[in-house]
Amino acid sequence: MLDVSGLRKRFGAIQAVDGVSFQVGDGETVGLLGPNGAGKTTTVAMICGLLQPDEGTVRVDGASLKGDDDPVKRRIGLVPQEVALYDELTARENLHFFGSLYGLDRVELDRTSAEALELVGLTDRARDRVKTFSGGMKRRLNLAAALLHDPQTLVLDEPTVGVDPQSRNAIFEDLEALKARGKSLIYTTHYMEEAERLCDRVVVIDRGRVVAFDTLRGLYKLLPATNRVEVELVESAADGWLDALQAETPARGPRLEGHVLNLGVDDLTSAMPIVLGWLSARGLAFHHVRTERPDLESVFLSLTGRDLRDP
Amino acid sequence: MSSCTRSFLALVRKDLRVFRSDRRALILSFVAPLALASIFASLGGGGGEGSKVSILVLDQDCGPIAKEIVAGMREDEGVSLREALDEAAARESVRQGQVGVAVVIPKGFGDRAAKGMFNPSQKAELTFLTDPTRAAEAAMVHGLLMKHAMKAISRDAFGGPGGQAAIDDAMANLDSNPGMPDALREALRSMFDEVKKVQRETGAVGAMATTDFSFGTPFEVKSEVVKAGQQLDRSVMAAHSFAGMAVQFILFAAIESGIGLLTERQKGLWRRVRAAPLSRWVLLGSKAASQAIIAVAIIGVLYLFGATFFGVKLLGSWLGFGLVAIGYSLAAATFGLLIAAIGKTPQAARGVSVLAVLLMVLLGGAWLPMFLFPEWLQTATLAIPTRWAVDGLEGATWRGSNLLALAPKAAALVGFAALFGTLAALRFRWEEE
Repeated sequence: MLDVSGLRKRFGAIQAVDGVSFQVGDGETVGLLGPNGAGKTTTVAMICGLLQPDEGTVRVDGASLKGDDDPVKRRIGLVPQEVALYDELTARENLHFFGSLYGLDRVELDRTSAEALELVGLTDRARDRVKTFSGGMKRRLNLAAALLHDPQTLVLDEPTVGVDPQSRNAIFEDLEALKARGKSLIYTTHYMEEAERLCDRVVVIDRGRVVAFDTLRGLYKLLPATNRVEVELVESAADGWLDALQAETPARGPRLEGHVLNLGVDDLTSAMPIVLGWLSARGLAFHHVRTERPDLESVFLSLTGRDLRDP
Repeated sequence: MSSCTRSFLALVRKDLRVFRSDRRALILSFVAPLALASIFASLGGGGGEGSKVSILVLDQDCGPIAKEIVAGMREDEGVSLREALDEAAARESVRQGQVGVAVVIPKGFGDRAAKGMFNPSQKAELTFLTDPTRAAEAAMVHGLLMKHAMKAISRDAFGGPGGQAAIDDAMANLDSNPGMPDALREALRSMFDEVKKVQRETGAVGAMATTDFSFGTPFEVKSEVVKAGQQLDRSVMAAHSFAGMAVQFILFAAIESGIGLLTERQKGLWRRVRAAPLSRWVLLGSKAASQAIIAVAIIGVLYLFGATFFGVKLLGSWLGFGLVAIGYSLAAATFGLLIAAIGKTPQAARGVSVLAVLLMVLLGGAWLPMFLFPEWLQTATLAIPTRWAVDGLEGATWRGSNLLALAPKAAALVGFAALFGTLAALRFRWEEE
C-alpha cells in the first residue's frame, strides 16, 4: 500500500506540485494523467525519494520515506521516462548492476536477472550489448531493470514514449502480468488510451493539483453526459427548437453547427429513440447518426477546460 | 560483505567496465599519452649528440682577428655555422626563422678591437641579428662569441701588428689627457712599456704562432650533468616527458569522468541510480574511486612503457612514487567530480574544463621546465596540483628523491583531493526532478 499525502514542491516562483494526495493498493494500477508540465514527473520524483518534498509525506506500507539511503526505497522500483541503461554493457550486466545497487548477492542477481529477462522476453539477448537493441527492446529492458529487487510498488514514468505499437502492446502485457502477481503500479502518461487500458483508478493532475481521483467509471460520471451523439440533418434549420429539445427529451447541451446537431445523453438505449422520434415528429429529417464513447480526454476537457495535449 | 560495500563495489566495477568498453576513452587515456610522451622523449635531450645552434656569420672585415673568430666558432661542437652572402640575406634568414642568430662582423672590426683593449673609448662593435622567439639561442651565441673574440683579440693585442699600433696610440692618448692624475699616467705608461716588451718578444720569436699564448676567458667550463645514478640524458628527458603526459592525460580522463556523470544525468541513468537506497558518499565516493583506479592504471602503463623503451628508472623511493601517484590520482578524480558538480550540460562543461586543464598542465611544468617561468609564477604554481605531481614524479625518477622528500608532495596532492572533493559535494545538485 502506497500512501501519498499532501505533497508540495516549489521551484523558485513555480509551484510544481500543490497538495497531491492519492493511495495505491496492492495489485492496483493507478494512472497519473495530465498534460506535459502538469507535475507528474515531480510527483514521481518525490515518491521515489529523488526529490525532498516541501510538504507532505510518502508512506510505503505505513513506513515513511526519509533520506537517500532509506531501506524503504527497496519497496519501490522506478522505470524512468528515459531509457536509463548503459549501452556499452550487455543486458545481463545492466541488470546485475542495477540489482546490486539494492544489495543483491551474486546468486540472487543471477536468479532475478533471469526472471526479469524472461518476463520481458529478452532471455535470448542476455549477452548482447544494449546498443545493439531496438528501441522497443530497450524499453522492455528498461522495465526489467526496475524489477530485480522485487519491489512491491512499481513507478512507471511514461514508459512507452517513442515506442512502436507492437512493443507498446508487449510492455502492456508485461505490466498486466506484474499486476496479476499483486504488484502495485503507478503509471504516468498523457496518453488516455494507455490509462484506459491499464488503470483501475486515475489521478487527473493539472497545474500541480489533483483535479480528480477516481475509477474510470467514476470519472465518466463527472461528464455532463456520458455519450456524445452527432445527428446529421438532411437540411439545415433555424435553431429556435433547441431549448424545446432539451426540455422535452433526455438530450443534454444540444447545439447546431450547420446541419449537424451535437448533443449528449446518459443512456443510449433509452434516450435515443425519444430524441430521434422528437426530431422526426417536428419534420427534422436526418440521414446519419453517430455516437462516441466517453473518454478521459473528454473528462480532462470537462474538468480543466483544456485539452490533454495542450502545451 | 555489507549491502553498502556491495553497492559501492558494483558502482566502481560498472564505471571500469564502461571505461573499458569505450574505445575512444581508452585511446585518449593510454594511446595518446604514450604516443606524445614517446615523441617528446625522442625529440628532447640528445645528451650532446643532437641539437646544435645554427648561426649565420657575415665577415665584412676579413682581417686576421675576424677570421680567427669565425674559425673558432666553426670548430665549436655546439655550433653549426654558415656564412652569409650579405647583410640583407642574413636578415631575411633570421626573419624567416631559418636561423636564430646572425652575426655581422663589420669592416674595421679587427683594428678597432685591438685598440679597444687599451682604450675603452675606441670599442669595436659587432651586430647581432636575433629571432625574438629564440632568445635562449642568442644568449648562448653571445657567450660563445665572447670566448672566441677575446682569444683572437688578446692574441693580436699582445703580439700582432694591430696590438703594437694600439699601444702606440694608447701611449699618445696618455700624453694628450691632461685631466689624468700623474701617478696613474706613470703607472699606465709603465704597464704599456711592459706590454711593448711582450710584443717585441713574441714578435721576435714568433711565439704567438707557435704557442697558445693569449688572453681570453680566465677559466674553462668543465660541464657535468647532475642527476641520480648513471642515467643517460635521454632517459632524463624521457622521465620528464612521461611525467608531463601522465599528469596531462589523467586530467583529460578526469574530464571524461565528470562529463560521463553529466551524461548519465541527462540520460536518466543517474535518476535510476539515485532511486536506490544509497548514501551520497557511496555515490560520489565510488565515482572518485573508479576514476582514481583508472588514473593509477594510466601512470602504471606509461611508466612501464617508459622504462621498457626509454630507460626511465625509478631511482627514488618506490613507496614515495606510489604515494605521489595515488595522491595525484585522487586529486584528478575529485577534480572530475567538481566538473560534474559545476557543469550544467556535458557540452558546456567540456569546453571550460579543457581550458582549465590545459592551463593547469602548462603552469604545472608538464610541458615546459619550471625554470623558464618567472620566479613569481614559479611560486604561484604551488597552488595547483599539477606542479606537485610533476615535481613528485620527476623526484621519484631521475632526481632520485627519497620518501622524506616525496611524502610532502603526496600529502599536498591528497590535500587538493580533499579540497576538490569537498567543493564537489557542496556544489553537487542532488535533487532530481
